[in-house]
Amino acid sequence: MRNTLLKSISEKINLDNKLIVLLGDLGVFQMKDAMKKYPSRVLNFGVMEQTMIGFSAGLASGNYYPIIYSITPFLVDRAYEQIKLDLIYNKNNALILSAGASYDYSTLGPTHHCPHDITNLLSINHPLISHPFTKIESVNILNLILQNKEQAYIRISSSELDISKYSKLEKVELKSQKANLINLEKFISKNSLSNDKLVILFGPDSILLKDCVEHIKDSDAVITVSVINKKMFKDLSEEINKFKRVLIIIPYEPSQIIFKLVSRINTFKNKPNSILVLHPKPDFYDSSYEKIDIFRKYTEETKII
Amino acid sequence: MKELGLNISKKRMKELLYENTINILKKATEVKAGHIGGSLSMSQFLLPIIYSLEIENKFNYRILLSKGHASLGFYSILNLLKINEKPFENYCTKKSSSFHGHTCKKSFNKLIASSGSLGHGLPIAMGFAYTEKIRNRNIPIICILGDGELQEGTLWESLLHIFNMNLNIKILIDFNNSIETNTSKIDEGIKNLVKTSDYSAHSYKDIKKAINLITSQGPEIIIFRTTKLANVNSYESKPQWHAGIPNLDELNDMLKKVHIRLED
Repeated sequence: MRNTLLKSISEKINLDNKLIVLLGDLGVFQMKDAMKKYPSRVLNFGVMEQTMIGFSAGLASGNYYPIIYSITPFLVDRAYEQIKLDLIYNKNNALILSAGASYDYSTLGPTHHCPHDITNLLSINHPLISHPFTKIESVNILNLILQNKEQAYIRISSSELDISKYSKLEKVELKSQKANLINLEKFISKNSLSNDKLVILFGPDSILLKDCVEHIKDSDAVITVSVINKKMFKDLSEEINKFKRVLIIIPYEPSQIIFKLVSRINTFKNKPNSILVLHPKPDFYDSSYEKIDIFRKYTEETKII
Repeated sequence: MKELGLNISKKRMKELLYENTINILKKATEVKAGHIGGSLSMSQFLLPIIYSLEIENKFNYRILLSKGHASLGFYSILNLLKINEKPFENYCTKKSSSFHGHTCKKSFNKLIASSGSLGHGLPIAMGFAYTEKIRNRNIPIICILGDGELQEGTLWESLLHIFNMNLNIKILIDFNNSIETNTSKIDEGIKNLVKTSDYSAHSYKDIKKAINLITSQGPEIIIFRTTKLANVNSYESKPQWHAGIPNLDELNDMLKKVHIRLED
C-alpha cells in the first residue's frame, strides 16, 4: 500500500503545482524520480518531525498543500503539539501519511509501536482520519483528499483486507454513502434472515484480532470503516441500532471511537442488546514479536452494553 | 531593494515609547492579565521597526511572534500606531470579540500564525518563507523569539534548514536575559553556528541598522539586547514582572518612574 500511494503521489505532483511533499527520511527511494524532477516540491526534510510539521503549517499558510510522510510514532507522538496547534488550531490544512502504525514495526519494539495515533488525533478534533483496507481504496481516498485539500490523516497499514472476497457476503448500497468520500461499506450474509449480529471492522488490521474470521462467518452483516469523521459516527451509529448484537473490532487504542459512538447510541430509543469491542490490550510489548502474535495473544474484550 | 530608513526623530520616538509603556502597564492592571516583562522589552525595538515598516515605508512583509506571550506589547503597538485598535481594546475582556493572552492571527493581516507555545514560530515562518522563495517573491518574514525560547530544539533544527535554503527570514531575538536556567551563554552558541548581528535595543543607531537588514536578502539573526522593565526605574530585571500583574499602588508607583532609555 505504501508504494502504491507514493507512486500515486509522484503522479499527482505532475498535475498539481500546489502540492509539496516532505519526507521524514522515509520513502526517499520510492520518490527519487519525483525529487529529481521537482526538487523544490519534493524534499527529504530529515529526522526533525516537530519542525517538519511546523514547516508544513508555514507552507499551508503560503497557500500550498503539504503532504508529510514518515513513521507513525515519530510523526503523531513526537509532533503531537505541532499537529494540534500549527495545523488544526491554526487551520493550516495538510495531509499526514503515516507508515508503521499500531504494531506494523512489531519486531522493532515499543519505540516503534503506535497503537494510539487515531485516538490521540480524535481527541484534538482531527477532522478526517483514514485507514484504507486495500490499495485501490487507498488511492481513491488519496485522490479525494488531494482534490479538496483537507486536513487529513492516512494511516498506511502493512495489512490488506478485501472483505468482498468472502463468498458468503454480498455488498449492499448504503443510502448515506452516496457522497464522494465513502466512510463505510456494508456487506450482508447471503444466508442471513435477520438483523441479529453485526460485525464492524475498523481498518485492515482487524482481521488479525483473535477469532475475527469466525465472527465474520457467524455474522448477519459486516461493516468496514475506512474513514473516520463526523459523518461516519452518525451513519455508523444508525446502522448499529438496527441490530441486536454488535461486535466492533478496533485493532488499536479504541477509547475515543467508543466514547463518540456511545454518546450517539445513547440518544436512540432502541439500542442493541449487546455491544462488545475487541481491541488489543494496551501494553509495552518488549520482545521481538510478530505483528500477528501481538494481536492474537493480547486481544481484549470491552463490553459497552 | 531600497534600504529602509527611520526618519522620525529620536525625541518623538521616545514619546511613542513612553506612551506605549504607560498603555501596557495600565492595560495589564485593568484586565489583570498579560506578560508585561516581555511585552515591554520587545516593544523597545519592535515599535520603531513597525513604525518604519508600516507608517514611513508601507513595506510589504509578514510577521510571527513566536514569543506569543508578548501579545500585549504587540497589540499595544498596533493600537498606538492606529493599525488596528481592536485587539488592544478587547485584550482579555469577557466579550465574545475578546483577544486572549497570546497572539491571534486575526489581529493583523500580516501575522501568519496564532502562537503561544514556545518553539513553534520559527518552523512555521520557515515554511512560509519557503513558499515565497519558490514563487520568487521573497517577501521577508520577521520572526520574533525570546532568549528563553532558544532552549527549544525546534529553533536549532530550523537553523539547519534556514541557512541551507537561504530563506528570507529575519529572526529578531528579544534577549532580555531573564532565563533563570543556566543557559545564559546560549547567544554564544548561536554565534558559533551562524552569522548574527548584536544590537542594543536602547540605541537608536542600532535599531536603524536592524531596519536596514530587514530589506537585505537572505536570513538574518538580530540579537537585541533588552532588559525587562528597563524604562521603569527600580523595577528593572526583576523575575516577578515576567508575568506578574501590578496592583493599583504598584501601577501608580511604576507610572511615576517611567523614564525612556534611548541613546543615539
